[in-house]
Amino acid sequence: MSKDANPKEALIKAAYADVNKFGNNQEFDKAVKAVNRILGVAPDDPTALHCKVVCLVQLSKFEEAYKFIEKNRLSSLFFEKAYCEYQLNKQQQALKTIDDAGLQPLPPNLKELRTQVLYRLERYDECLDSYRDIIKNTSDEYEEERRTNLSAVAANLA
Amino acid sequence: KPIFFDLAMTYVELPSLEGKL
Ligand SMILES: [K+]
Repeated sequence: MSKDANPKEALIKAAYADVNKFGNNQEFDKAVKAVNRILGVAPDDPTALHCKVVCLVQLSKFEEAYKFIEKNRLSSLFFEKAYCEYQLNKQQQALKTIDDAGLQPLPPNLKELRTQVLYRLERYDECLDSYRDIIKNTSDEYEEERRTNLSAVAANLA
Repeated sequence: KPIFFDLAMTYVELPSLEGKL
């Protein structure tokens, strides 16, 4: 029997296809509606819960994303949680969320965010060290932007 | 104020949907 014989499974599969399509097109307003269709029938689906948070963040709905993470106790989404805290200007809390994740060394997403949090906290010496470390160890399409950020830190130290 | 880019945002990505499609 095909999985699609089950109407709930078929709905979920179709909705995930939409999440994938709209996500790839950066149409997060449409993607979040598809995610809501999944959560309507599978409210505990961890992938859908994660997708919803990402869509809300992409739509700059940081307060809503943060509340959604808290309400659903999405404790594994510490990067997204800390990113919301950063955007909501709760920098001390963002730093705590990142450091309490207990990951050593920090993966690139948390390292990048932690460095930006240090900048907002005006901890420029640590921020500068952290950018130097990222720049030394990273090869991606954002190297020029990162050097611009390094200059901003240096300007604040001058 | 100096220009400062939000590069952390580039890591805000949908999880892998492999196995869901
Ligand atoms: K993105």
